[in-house]
Amino acid sequence: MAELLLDPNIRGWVFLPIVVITFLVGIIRHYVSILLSSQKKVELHQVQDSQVMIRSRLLRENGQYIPKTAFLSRRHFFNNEETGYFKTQRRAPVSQNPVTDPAMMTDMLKGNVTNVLPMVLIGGWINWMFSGFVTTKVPFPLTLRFKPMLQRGIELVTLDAAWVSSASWYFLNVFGLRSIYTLVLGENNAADTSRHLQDQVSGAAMSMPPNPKAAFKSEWEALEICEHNWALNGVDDDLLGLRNTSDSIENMYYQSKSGL
Amino acid sequence: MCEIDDNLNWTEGRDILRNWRESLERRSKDVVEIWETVLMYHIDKLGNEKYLVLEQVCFAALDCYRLPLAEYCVKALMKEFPGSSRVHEYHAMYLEALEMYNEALEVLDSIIKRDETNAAPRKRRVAILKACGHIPEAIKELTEYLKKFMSDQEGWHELCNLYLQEQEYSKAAICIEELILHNPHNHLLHQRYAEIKYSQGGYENMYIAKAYFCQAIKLNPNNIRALYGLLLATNNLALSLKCPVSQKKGTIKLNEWVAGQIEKQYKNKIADKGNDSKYIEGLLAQLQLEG
Amino acid sequence: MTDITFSGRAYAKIILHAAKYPHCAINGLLLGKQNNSNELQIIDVAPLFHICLHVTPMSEVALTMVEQLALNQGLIIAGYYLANENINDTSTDKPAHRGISEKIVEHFNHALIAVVDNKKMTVGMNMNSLKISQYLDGKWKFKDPSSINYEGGANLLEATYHLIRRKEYRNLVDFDNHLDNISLDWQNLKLNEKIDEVLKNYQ
Repeated sequence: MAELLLDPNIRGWVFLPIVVITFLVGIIRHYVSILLSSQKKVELHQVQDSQVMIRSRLLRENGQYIPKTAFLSRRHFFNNEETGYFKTQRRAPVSQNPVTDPAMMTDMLKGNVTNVLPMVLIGGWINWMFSGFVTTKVPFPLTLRFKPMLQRGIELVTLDAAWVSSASWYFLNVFGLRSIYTLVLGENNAADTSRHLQDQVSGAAMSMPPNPKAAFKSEWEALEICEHNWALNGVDDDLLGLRNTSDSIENMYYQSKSGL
Repeated sequence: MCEIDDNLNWTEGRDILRNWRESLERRSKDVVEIWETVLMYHIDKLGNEKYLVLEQVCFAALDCYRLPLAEYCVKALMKEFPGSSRVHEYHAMYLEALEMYNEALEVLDSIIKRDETNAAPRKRRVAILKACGHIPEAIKELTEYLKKFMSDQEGWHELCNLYLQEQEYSKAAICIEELILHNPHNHLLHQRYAEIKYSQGGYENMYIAKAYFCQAIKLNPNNIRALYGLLLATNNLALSLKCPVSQKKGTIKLNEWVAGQIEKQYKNKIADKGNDSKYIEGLLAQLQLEG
Repeated sequence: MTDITFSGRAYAKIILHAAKYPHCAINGLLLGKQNNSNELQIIDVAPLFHICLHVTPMSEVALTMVEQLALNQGLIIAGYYLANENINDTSTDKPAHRGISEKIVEHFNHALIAVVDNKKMTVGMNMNSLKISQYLDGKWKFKDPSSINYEGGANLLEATYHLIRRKEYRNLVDFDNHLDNISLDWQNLKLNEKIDEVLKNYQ
């Protein structure tokens, strides 16, 4: 098979420009998304619910460390039939339908504007501008199955699968440059920290699972079957038992010291 | 306490401040000193870190009652981030330092109005009430806050302190219980819980106090407060008329054991000073039971 | 009417204790001597707590220990000193303080309470910042500052200022420090020497 020789102009005017263009577009996209990003609004009752869930989980896990009456009164607070938190709080399930929630709509739109739109536009433009070039060759042989992936836009049956077309080179760049972005944009953290100052870090404001009602119900069940075994029962005997071992160690230490 | 070198250069100063920021050390006096000796003149070289440093210095200046410096920092931050609620909070704290409490409350309320989920300004409201000396009102405000932010450990801790100031031991104990649920392996919390139960008095509470002092010692055998506490608690229990005979023997045994432990602690730590241990022996003699 | 005298060491140690923990409430015991029925001399103080003044177990331990120490030196626990957390607060009847001071009165019925007026703790230390009350006939009575003698007079303030500027308060050990690390000496023997030296220089 005859060796294929590429014009150096292809390197200068096709191969490198594609790398540079995709890289720059990525950077611009990053900053545009910073500009457009809006802070997610969390409702007060969502925060409250999530904190309640944490507290009740801790009660289940570490409840044995507090006296029994304390445990029972806390469980009463959560689970009592008439006044318990899990029984009285009625939360409407958060609407998940994006069409009815305008905030969701704008979020989706912003995601499209920053992610999909440039991909389509630049991809289309590159396809049109640099169509039909063979740009480079991967340094190892590949099977024919790779042809549609690496040689998009070139329909040559006889061409070796190791050659890469311009359109495929663009896609390789789009996905392959991701780690380089984190390197470049992640390096100067300053931009990020100053951003922190602007948008308030609101503590443990994790959002709740979409349906608090179901979460409450399962937590209620878990708490209901939770038993209380005071972990401090017999701790004084533990100490007295501990005395024997620690004493013998100390004694050995002193004996060896006096032996010296 | 490390002394601050006089001819510190500004990069070193910056690094020290950065370290303290990351390890959450307050050291306000030293922060102000570093700022005034070096960093003040190189503020523009700090790049974006400038604002973090300004924030830290602002806080420290408020601590040291260096109001002009605090004002400078607040203004610089306000200029850069006019909409940030965090900066507004500093402004409110500055007003607090000037004892303009009503104005500070107004600022805080406006922050809360903008973002209901922001916990920090709500806590500052409590702090203002405390500063005015209105402890019962502060307690009320803080319990309202804790109804919404139930797993805020800092809040529970402060509520415990406020209740203690009012001598409401049983309520303070509830707060510590909450903290124990968060950190079941912190010996200081167990010790504090036991101390509160001990202060409350009564046989039941004394019994619980004994158990928690034991737990604290189990978690950290060198906790001298817990050792002393256990000594007192067992002493009280054994002398109590309510103590069943079956338990009396065990309590006395525990009392002897803990007395031995305290003596050992002192012997290990201060071998050379005979003077101090004399008092300890006297103390033990007074507190220990006649076996 | 009894005459009350404060030694320079006692005064300086109270102020240093307050200066070491500017953000906390502090308390401690006054150790003194009653020569005859109408002269009370405060010779030394035992700084106690700054972390939590409201729970009793450790104050019981401290009281027993200080009593031992005082007995050995021929002194009595003659009173109680405190500084409140709030800068404007000079009240002495907070529940936390009431417990200990009542206990002291049981043993010594002319006991004193000294409260540090936080507002007068200025950088220059140019005012006497103690307010003293005495227990008389079942009540705490405020004593007029002029009726109390301070050993050294105006020089004492000067000396305290000097001690603060030398950051001597970092070397003060109270009972809480001692409980954190029992190798620290809450009797402050070393600090006492330093204070005495400074006081001598300013006489």
